[in-house]
Amino acid sequence: MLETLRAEVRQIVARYCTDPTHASAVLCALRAPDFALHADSRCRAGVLALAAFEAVAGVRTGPAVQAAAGVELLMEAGFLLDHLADGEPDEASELGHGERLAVAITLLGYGLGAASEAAAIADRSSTLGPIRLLYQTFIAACGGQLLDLTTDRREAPTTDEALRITELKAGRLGRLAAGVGASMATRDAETVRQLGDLGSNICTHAQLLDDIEDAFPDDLVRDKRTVPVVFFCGSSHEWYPGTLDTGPAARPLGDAPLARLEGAYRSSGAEIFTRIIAQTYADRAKETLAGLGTRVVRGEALEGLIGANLVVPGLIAVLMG
Amino acid sequence: MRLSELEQAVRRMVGSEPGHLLTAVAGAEGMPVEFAVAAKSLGERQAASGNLFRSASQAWFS
Repeated sequence: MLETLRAEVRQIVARYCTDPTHASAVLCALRAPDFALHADSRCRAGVLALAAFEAVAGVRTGPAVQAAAGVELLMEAGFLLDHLADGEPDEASELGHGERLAVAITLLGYGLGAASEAAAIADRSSTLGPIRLLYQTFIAACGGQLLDLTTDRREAPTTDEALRITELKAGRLGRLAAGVGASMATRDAETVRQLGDLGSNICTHAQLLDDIEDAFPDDLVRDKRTVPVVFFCGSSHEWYPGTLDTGPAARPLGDAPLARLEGAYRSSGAEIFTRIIAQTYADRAKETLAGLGTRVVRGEALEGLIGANLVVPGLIAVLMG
Repeated sequence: MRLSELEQAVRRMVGSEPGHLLTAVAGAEGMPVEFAVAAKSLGERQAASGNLFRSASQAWFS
């Protein structure tokens, strides 16, 4: 599935981008670590979209692959914009700040264009539903990004606010991926809604686990307002948001302060607090999956995607009868 | 999903070993059901494997 998506991404770049320099810059960005064309990338949004389509339709089609690749490119655009907003340097692609911004906007165009085109060429009498869902969910994810940046400028966000941002960003992307995939396969609104819920819960769960992994030292030093960081800062005046020397010109923390920061963080309860919240999203995903029942006609891809992550072994087999 | 009850319960138990903390959270008075259920299942996983922070999901997602 990954190679199919990567091949489609390359085709979209070639088809939509006629200028060789422009295409080269885009491909360069997409080959960087964590991006779609890097050997280790997981293309989680595209894979989720395609798995949702296959679960409902029972087959894989060309337009479905194209729509999934479009969704993946939207997520890549968001990822790149997130890097730019956080002031993270680009050591892999050697593109400058402005060039990366141009590439991010290009990726948005690819994603929206390719997914809309796929919906239009799908063998369906009405394409309005998938296209509307695509744009609505994409705009909602942009709202999550805006809230994230707004919250970053505030002195002391609450854990509720940090979780809301996680839901708005990662959850909305999951809803976008699974919802677009499902809406390419069916016009049944309830099926699309439930698969969107499933995608939202899967991605929020995954993001919270990522945030636990990334909290020390990266997110703490960068003052990123994720759930574990906000929880930790709420219990420590010494490490209150903004007290660390952060930003592009920041001096690196010495070994002793770093060790002290780690000790304080590890003993704060932030990891277990976030882990409990993450588990509630895993539980919700399981419930949603159970609720889908016979609406899912071919569950192998979802089983491969979700079974290893959230679902107790054999649950989908039981659901599939 | 409001986090205040969970946040207070975890802060009260800071310093406890994970299994003890999870049991306390699961049984805390006024704890929302979703968090109580999650803490209980994590507590069972902790007891079985002793590992709470490395999961299969991270192999796929991160």
